[in-house]
Amino acid sequence: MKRINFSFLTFSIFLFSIATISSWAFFFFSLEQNRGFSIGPGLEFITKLVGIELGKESAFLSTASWAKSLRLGFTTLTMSILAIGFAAIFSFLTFPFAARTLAFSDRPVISNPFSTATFLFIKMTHTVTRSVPELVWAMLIVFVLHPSVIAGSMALAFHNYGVLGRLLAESVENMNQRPIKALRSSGANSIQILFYCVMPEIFPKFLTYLLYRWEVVIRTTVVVGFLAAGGLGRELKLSMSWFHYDEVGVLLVTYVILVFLVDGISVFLRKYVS
Amino acid sequence: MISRKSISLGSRTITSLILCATFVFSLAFVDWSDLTPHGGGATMLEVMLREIISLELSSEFIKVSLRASFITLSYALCSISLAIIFGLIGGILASGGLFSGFLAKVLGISLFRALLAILRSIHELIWAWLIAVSLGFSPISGVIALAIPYGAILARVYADFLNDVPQAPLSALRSSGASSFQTMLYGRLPQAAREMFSYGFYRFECCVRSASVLSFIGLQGLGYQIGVSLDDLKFGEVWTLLAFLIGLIVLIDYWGSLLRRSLS
Amino acid sequence: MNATQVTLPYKVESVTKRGGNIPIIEDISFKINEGEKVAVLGSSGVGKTTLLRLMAGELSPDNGVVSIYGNDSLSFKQGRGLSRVVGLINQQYDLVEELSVINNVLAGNLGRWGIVKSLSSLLLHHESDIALRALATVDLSGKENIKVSKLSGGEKQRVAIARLIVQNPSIVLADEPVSALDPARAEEVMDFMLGYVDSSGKTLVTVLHSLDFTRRYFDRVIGLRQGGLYFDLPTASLTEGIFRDLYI
Repeated sequence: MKRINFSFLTFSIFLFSIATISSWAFFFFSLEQNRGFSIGPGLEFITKLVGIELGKESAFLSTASWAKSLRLGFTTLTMSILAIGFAAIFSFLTFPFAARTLAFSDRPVISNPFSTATFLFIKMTHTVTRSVPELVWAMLIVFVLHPSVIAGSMALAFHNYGVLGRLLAESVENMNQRPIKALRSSGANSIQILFYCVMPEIFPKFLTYLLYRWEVVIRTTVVVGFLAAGGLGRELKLSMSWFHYDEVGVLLVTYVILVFLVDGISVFLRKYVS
Repeated sequence: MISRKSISLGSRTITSLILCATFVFSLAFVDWSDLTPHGGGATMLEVMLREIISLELSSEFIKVSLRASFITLSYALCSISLAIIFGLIGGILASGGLFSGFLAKVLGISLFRALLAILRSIHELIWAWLIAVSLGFSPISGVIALAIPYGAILARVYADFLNDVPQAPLSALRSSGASSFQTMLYGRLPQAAREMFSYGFYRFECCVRSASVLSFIGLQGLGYQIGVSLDDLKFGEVWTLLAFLIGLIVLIDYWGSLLRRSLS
Repeated sequence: MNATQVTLPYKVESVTKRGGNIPIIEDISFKINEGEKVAVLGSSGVGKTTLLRLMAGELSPDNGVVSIYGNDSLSFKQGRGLSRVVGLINQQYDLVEELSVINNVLAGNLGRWGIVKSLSSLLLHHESDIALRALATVDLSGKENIKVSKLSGGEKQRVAIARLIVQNPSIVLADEPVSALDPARAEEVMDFMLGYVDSSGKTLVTVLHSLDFTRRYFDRVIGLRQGGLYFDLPTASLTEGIFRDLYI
């Protein structure tokens, strides 16, 4: 048995290496596309970014621009909270249906066709939503709704619903099955087992996943905002198009501060919970 | 004697309450009128949903989708391979395993971790955009744009793995005369290798997603094709491309779980 | 002349169970009477746990029938129906680590309670007097609100017994209940378990390894060897020699 596993690993590494090398070769040989690569404008951009520009008042020194930036940061923060909140609610409501160990009973009896159908359906929603990137969801939503805070949050929530749903379902499947079996022999039905056995163990993990995911969401919120949903993202795009690189600098610094803030809260709460 | 049941609020309950309160509070900031579809919005939604059933499945478009998938995959492979290199270097440095002496360790670790934190905090697409503006628009900048934040994330996580390694074998190595570098090579890396590999693969999957979005800005790939089809309002094509993307992700995810199972 | 058929707790008839193509237990038959205390012995892997699980209705026999009080074990609705009749204790991991002791003990009622009562009990602890008395029986009074993960192995097994008391089945099946405990704790737990079984007249079937415990607590002993029934004797007739044969 060990033999087979080892060659699967080597085979995978081999396949991966071949694929990577050919990818690099592919890129190096599309030379004409790489003509766009030049270092010159880069330096100019960086200096402008930091706010050094002759003859103009740098945005870094203006309280107005900082104030605006902080306000936008707050909007972005709100968006991220809404996104993770909706994702958390819906994933929490659906994850029991997507866990193999709950959907299929272990007695050799025809499993309830209803639960199999539910399992497949919910599992599919999780897979589809998490495989499609948040930005793509945002692009699709923008066709239906106005670009807005709620639209951006929805896009983020769709994707993270799938991520959290899958993480939770996996946690249930990896749980120690013995207490579940023991409770079943004490006469508990599936719903009782869910609340007496699964929830107490999964809930702390749920909080950790939620907080951890929030760190990812706050970063992506700015990107979604780019598509005109609002907050720092949209302003970033606007300033860039006006070539006000110093404003861009201010916004970027606010962005990094915001991310640090959320990371800090998340780390603290995660430690507090365990 | 029946003891009184005490309702003590555990840390989890408090945290949950705080999170709920924050969420409800944020709801107040939403302009709920934004939920009404704009002008042609409702019809658009209808069209979109209907077209899920009628995917664009012509052989020509399938060829386009397939090609786009391969390109996206190539971008992901290049970026993640670069990121792994960055990650290994950064991780080794940030774990402090190479520094001997207390002060050097503390300074070295804080410096590298702070640097990594800043690099990590900026989303890869913002990086792509910044790099496109500064280094010009080309496939290479796309690859670099993904490699930097992914490299930083890998470095941070690898540093943690390298640090959390069981200490006993390390002190054994040290007492047999190994230097910090050798302890790293013989002691830390081998023990952390399995986890590092597993996490790296997970990041590869994320990288495929990121690469697909990256291509939206003009580099060839699934994102670019989705943009093209959206501009023409050909939703059937969009769903086909998404199906390919989902398929690609599911495939890689499955490969990853097989690997993980064979490793444990 | 037909003697009044008293339904037996157990009638195992020619039961075979395979794992893949290999038979785990083959053609086993025996009967168990009300109130009997039976020990099941045998080397590791011989099929003792499989036999117990068949008797608990968790597995279905490939051949033969397991009758519990005259009814086929398979005819019971899994879990609920059987839980009034059969209760099971395992070596470990029976309890929900994250819940308090009292909630674990009250879980013995789940076969009888509806959904609303079960859920509200997590906070309100319905019918707690029975549970508290059960805890007193196993000498764990005062520990109701402690999270199970904080208890020792011996204490956890005692909580499992308390849960069984609340569940109140007619038959108790125990799968190596003390194998994970040190000798002093093991004896303590066996005393509590047998005390409960004796005072309430339950039927007990226990899988164990210890000849000493077998002699001390059980009237009858069944030995499994190579998947088949090697002996079925009153404990008094069990010699050291026959016992050692099981482990060849």
